[in-house]
Amino acid sequence: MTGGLRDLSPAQCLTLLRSVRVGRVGVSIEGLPAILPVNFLVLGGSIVFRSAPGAKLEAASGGAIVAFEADSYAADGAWGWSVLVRGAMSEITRDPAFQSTRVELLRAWPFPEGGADRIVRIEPSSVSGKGFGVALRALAPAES
Amino acid sequence: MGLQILSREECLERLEHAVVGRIGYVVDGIPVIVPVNFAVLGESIVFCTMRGSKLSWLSNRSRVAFEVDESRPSDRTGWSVLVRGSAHEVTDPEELDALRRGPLSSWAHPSPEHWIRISADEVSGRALSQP
Repeated sequence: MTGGLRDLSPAQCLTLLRSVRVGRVGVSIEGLPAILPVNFLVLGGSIVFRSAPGAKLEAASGGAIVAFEADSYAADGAWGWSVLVRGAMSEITRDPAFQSTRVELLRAWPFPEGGADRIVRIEPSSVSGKGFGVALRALAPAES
Repeated sequence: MGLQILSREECLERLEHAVVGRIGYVVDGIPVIVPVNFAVLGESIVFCTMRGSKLSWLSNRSRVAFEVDESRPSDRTGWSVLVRGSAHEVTDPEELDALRRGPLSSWAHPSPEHWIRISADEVSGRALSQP
């Protein structure tokens, strides 16, 4: 144990999000919460992932506020962090900024499985995170 | 790529081998997701948290989602399990005593004060493997 959780800045949160490939989208399905894993990218400050027609895409079309979470931790519990993003979800259709080869990477990754060929984004309205242990040192280098 | 739908038993077995899951719930219409260390006890998920933490608002019978996943980007395999049920604070002294002596301790909160059980009302899961 390493002495409790520390709050992370939004910039630290985005740095950490770029270091992992799987996050989880929290949506409401028939009034009840559900959590769905997705492979994602951080592009232009947005969280970008694939979606199939269904709950996530319905939320996207309605501009609903959704939650997005990613985390990482040491197997022995020596360090860990988690980031929570909230924002409106929308489908990306024509924006050329999101037609990059990096977006093509999403198609090669497994989550979500099946015919999830639409690309959606979450534009963050809030970004917060917490972490503990040595992993955070790299995010806050000493001033020289 | 092969998609396999996991049975309830297969889902619970995978949960028993995992240590970190994520709780999802809705506050004032806004969904929240928080990671927790957890244990499977019978047909329930149990975890501990501190008073005053994000999770401490969870009242008895709050409807929650609980998710665990694992993936290996190198060979593009992975699985995920989603549990939906209601949250209940554990208040029975004997049960609390057993939990405090058990293997479950939170990495982030060394002295938990709050134990919460989620009934596994609905359990679903899927696994992706390379053919």
